Amino acid sequence: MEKLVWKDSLKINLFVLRLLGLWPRGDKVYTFDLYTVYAVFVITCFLSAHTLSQVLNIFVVYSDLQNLSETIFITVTNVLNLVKIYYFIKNTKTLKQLIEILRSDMFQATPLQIKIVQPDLIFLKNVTLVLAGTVGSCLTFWCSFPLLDSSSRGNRLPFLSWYPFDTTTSPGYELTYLHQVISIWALAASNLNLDTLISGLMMLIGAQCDILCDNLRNIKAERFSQEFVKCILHHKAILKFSEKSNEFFNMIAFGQFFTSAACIAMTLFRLTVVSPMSSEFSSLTFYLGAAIQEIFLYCWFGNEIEIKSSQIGYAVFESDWTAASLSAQKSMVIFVLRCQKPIKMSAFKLVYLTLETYVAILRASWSYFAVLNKINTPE
Amino acid sequence: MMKFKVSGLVADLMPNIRLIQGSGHFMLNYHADNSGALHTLRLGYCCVTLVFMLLQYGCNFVNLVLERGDVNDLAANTITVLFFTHCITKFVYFAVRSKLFYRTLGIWNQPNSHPLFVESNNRYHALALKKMRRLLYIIIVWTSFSAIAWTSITFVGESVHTTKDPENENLTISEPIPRLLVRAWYPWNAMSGMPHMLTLIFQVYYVFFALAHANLLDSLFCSWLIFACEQLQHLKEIMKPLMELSATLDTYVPKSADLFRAPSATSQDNLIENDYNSKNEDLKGVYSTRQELGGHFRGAALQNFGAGGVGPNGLTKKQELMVRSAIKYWVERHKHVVRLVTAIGDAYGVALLLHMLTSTIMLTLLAYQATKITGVDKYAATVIGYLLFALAQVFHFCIFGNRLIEESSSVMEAAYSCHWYDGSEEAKTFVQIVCQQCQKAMSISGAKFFTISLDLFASVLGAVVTYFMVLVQLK
Repeated sequence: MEKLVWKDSLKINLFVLRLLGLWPRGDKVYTFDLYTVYAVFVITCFLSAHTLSQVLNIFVVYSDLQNLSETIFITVTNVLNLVKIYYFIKNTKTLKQLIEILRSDMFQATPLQIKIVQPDLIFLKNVTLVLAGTVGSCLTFWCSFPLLDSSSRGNRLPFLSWYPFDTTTSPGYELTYLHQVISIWALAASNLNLDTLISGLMMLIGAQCDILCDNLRNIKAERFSQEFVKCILHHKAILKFSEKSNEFFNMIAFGQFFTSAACIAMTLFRLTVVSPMSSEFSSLTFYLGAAIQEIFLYCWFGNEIEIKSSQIGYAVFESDWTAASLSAQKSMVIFVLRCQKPIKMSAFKLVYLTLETYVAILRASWSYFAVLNKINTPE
Repeated sequence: MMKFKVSGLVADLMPNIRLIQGSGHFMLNYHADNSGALHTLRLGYCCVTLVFMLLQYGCNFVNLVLERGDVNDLAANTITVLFFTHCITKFVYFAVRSKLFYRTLGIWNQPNSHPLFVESNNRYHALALKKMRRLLYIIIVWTSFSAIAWTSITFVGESVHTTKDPENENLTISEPIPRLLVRAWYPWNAMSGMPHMLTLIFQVYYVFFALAHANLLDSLFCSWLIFACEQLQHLKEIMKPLMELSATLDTYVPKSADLFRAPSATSQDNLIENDYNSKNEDLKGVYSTRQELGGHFRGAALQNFGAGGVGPNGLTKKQELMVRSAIKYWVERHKHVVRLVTAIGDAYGVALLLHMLTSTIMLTLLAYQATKITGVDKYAATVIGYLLFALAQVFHFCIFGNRLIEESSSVMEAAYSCHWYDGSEEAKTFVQIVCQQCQKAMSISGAKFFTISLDLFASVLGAVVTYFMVLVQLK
């Protein structure tokens, strides 16, 4: 029995997060050691400073709609990113507990069951790769467009930000350029990994539901009561795990949904303004793709959990329950009653992570884009 | 004369009731002295309030009709008239259906009790009381703040309106109108001097009392919901000890610890070591096998009771009766809560429906007004003020309706989360009935048209945003 099989699927995520200073070693949270110093350095110098300068830039240019839209939509994402990192750090302890629980015997699987959940693991990996590719190309285009289009604009930085010193002449220009490049890669990496970590957790909950279904179907008739009680305990453990995970990413998911519709709308708007065939256009296209995929991650895996947890009730009937004792059958009734209420992941119970929410967000962003377009055209 | 004693909900909500009576609603019960003279006096006070409210409302309406030429004025006056329609509706509604309110207030006069659960009951009762008081303070502060803000904004900016120039039909000039809180028509000239001062004072009284009428009734409704939710929390809390008690009622208690002994060589099952998680200090709060198997351990302790007259499972006859009565207490209390929630729905459902109807029209017009905002001035402040107030009123009762739905649907989860599988047949039957009964959440509906929940608030908010965006595009 491979005990670490679940944590492996999150290994890459945790590695990158450790690189960025967000994942303390072992089972501890931040203690006074070198790693914390490194984490503080990375977070303040790169992540926060860059976002702060962009926010300040908004106050400088807010009367000019063109410049404003250019700054706002990336600033919103960066601010959201910082908020997510803050809540992530705040809840590191919970997350470590959750990953520790994954190692418990309750959540282990037979090799046959691992084969059943393999497609989900592969799907997550593929989606992560696609998203990483999109984000990577977007950033490459973005960081290189001042170099490619520099003839028309002079010494320009990839992101419009406000700095207290002069950035048009060297060495200020080169240093700020480098700082922006490193910051935006760090921000994007942390965002990507946070999202895939949360999706990974949700995928694992879905996998546990599948394993439970398989266990229920294969309950041997002669030991029905005892095995059924074990399944009930497994179910309770899954419920507790999903509740704790939901608590962990409540605020993160809420912030994500709150800003995603506006973000997508503004990106679409920027696409109509910028000239096609420039590298800015391609970076915006990839950015749009990345934003849409990000929400998709949350909604898809949340939807999967809902579907899989509602199948648990049916799985009981596929077992050999007719030979069980009356007492066990009564327990079955109560169990099925509970399973009719599926596990729903949500952000503070206001927004549920389902595919309907996804469609609603896409619709909303299209209508916001239409309004922005209408406001802009007569000008 | 009968000694005046209050109990149940009336005692808890006495400050609310006194404020409602003070603002002129037709609530004529709950007085210590209800003799003929005082009763007539109070009735007279209520009637006078009603007359004043209706008069001022009539003046608003007449003004609406007179100023219907100009589109902007028409929109603004319609919003004002609709805003005060809320208040008049609630006032008249209460007067007409006060019997239902008295019935709801009296429903909790004789709650059942059980010696085992008195402590929990009192604790949640105190919690409910605290929350109801806090809500009342917030409502009072909010109403006073709105009234003061309204009064102060009257004195900002110019007090004019635009009319057609009598000389040239195509031009518009601004003509001064009286500086009052609400634009209304009066048979006397209220431009300046003594009439203006008196009219101003009358309008301040009108605005403050109208806001108070609407908000106090809404807060009474929400206080009832708070009480119902806290009772449901109490029921959820006593479910676990109830389970443990009823597990002692049957002769056979399966030892689930045996399930987790070391397996035979051929078994492929994976097991949790009994003390795996207690070794890991961090996990104590999250997941603990000991907690899950707790029922088994406690059961043994309880079975050592009673030396003489011991039944088959180690309990005396008296203890058995107590356990059965505990189950009966749970069921009766749940039925009582259901009765309370039904009474609340009957009493206030139609008022909520009327509120939502008026709000929908008003918010549509407000969205239209919002498209005409040009800068940060008095106009923008008034439009945003109306908008925020209307949305806050809807949010006020939606959030408590939502909490009721959530609490009542989580009773089933609470029943499931205790270790019923270790229990007796009687315990399992009880859990099954509870699970089936609590599958459907208790909710308040607006006369069966819609359910009061945060979904309603979200759809109202979404509708306002949609109207706004559509109207902006049409401009």
